[in-house]
Amino acid sequence: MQIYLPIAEMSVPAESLAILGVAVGFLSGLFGVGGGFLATPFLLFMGIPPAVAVGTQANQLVATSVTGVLGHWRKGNVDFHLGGMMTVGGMGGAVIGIFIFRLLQHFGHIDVFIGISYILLLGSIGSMMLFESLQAVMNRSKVTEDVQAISQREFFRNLPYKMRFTKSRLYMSALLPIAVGFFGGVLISILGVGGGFVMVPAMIYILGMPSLLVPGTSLYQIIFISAFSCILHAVANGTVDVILALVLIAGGVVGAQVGVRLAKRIKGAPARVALALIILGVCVRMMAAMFIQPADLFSLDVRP
Amino acid sequence: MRVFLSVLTMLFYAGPAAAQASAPSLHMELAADHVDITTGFNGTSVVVFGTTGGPGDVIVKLKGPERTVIVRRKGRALGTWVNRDNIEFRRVPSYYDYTVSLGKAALAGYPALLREEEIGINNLGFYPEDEDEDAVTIGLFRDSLIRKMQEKGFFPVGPKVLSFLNPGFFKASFDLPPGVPMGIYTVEALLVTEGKVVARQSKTLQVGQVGFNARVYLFSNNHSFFYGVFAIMMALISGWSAFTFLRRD
Repeated sequence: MQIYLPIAEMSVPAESLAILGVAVGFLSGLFGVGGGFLATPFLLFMGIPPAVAVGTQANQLVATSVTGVLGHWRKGNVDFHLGGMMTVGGMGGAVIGIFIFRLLQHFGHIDVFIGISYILLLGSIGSMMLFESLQAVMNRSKVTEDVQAISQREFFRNLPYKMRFTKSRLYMSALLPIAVGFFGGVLISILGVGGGFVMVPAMIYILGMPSLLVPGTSLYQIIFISAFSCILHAVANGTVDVILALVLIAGGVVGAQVGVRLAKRIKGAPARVALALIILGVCVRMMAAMFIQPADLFSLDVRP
Repeated sequence: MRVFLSVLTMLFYAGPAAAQASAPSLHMELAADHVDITTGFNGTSVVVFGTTGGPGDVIVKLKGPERTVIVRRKGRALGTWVNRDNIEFRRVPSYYDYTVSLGKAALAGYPALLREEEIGINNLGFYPEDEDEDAVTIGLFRDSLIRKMQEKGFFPVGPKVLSFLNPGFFKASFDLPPGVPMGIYTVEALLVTEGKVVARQSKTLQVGQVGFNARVYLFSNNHSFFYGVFAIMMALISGWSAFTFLRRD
């Protein structure tokens, strides 16, 4: 069955969209990742214009983050104060991101930029995760070094606007969470990913947050930044397709149910190996698109 | 003098009568003057009926709204394939197809007519924005533009036959692909004798989204801020209900 997307102005097979939504929801339920990093490349493979894929992903992210954050909130694992500071930075990042997006689109390099960014992000995260999970599978007990968070180093301790984040038991400059949030905002606006896989390590290693609070707080600020980014995409580019988002969200809800149930039965480490391989697979697919000579060198763009 | 007068009367009486007898005429009508893009839209066909009075061949063209199209060519940079060169073409029809009642070989005998009436893909009037580019490059980009449009089905390649159901009563049909661009299309029918257009008629065809799709599209276009807010509300509600009604734990 074909479904016509009113904003993308194209008709796509509804089944494959729904399957994509289910698959992404399944992964997010199973591994607790946002899944945006898989959804956007697959939307691009389906021929959805990059602007629509990214704008719509920002919309879909709102839904998945709300579902995710409610559970963490119930358990009291959200630092609203720190998350609020990250949101401030994220809004700025979203504006800059949209601006960069438009610029790249104008010069016809948006596909390449998205491609390279994904290759770098997925490649580094995937290989790090693969390495770590393989070690865990082989039962090599990892020595957990107590790494000093970057925020507690000499230079960053001297930054102004110091603030006490009681929930996270941190005393640091507000500029640090703002900077981390800013980076997340840029990621959401340009790539359509919540950036959980970048934000989570950043919040642990740069800000030094207790890891229990990290997922909830990350999801909490993603809601606001992705909502803001969604409005920016709608106003600046008119590229938020609610029909596309709705199909993806609906598929995601179904997939997440299955994923969560399965997550209880399988072991963590082998599951992470699988996720790492999936991430690397997408990375390789995107690399192939960039480095192998395309069958057709020409492409068309309609000037709006 | 008598001869002159008789010639004059002959002219006077016979003139209009003769003109009336051979006045070539052409009438056509679209089976539907709008194409509705609904949620389940998967392409459609546009059917044209018409009658001709007098001898001649019929040509029917269907043309979509004209737009500016950028043709980009990828090249190698640091081992990756990126868009390097581009040429902008003005007045590219977003859809183009035509059908003729005479053989294409016969038609090729009238190059002036083809060029003037933009019949055939190679006679379309779009032109490059940057005239400084050398002719070979422009030709290459132009051919690629046409090829890409053909691949998308916007410049259909299949042979079209205009059929006469009766002498003087013709029918033509065009195929619009699923991703067909929206806008005002023009259908033009020409009656041609000896390479000259003797009668013509044109109609417009509205291709647009209808119903729920149209509302979403218009909402997004006219009130983009509120559309964004609406999209977020929808996401918030579905995210919240997914958590509340389908417990994860």
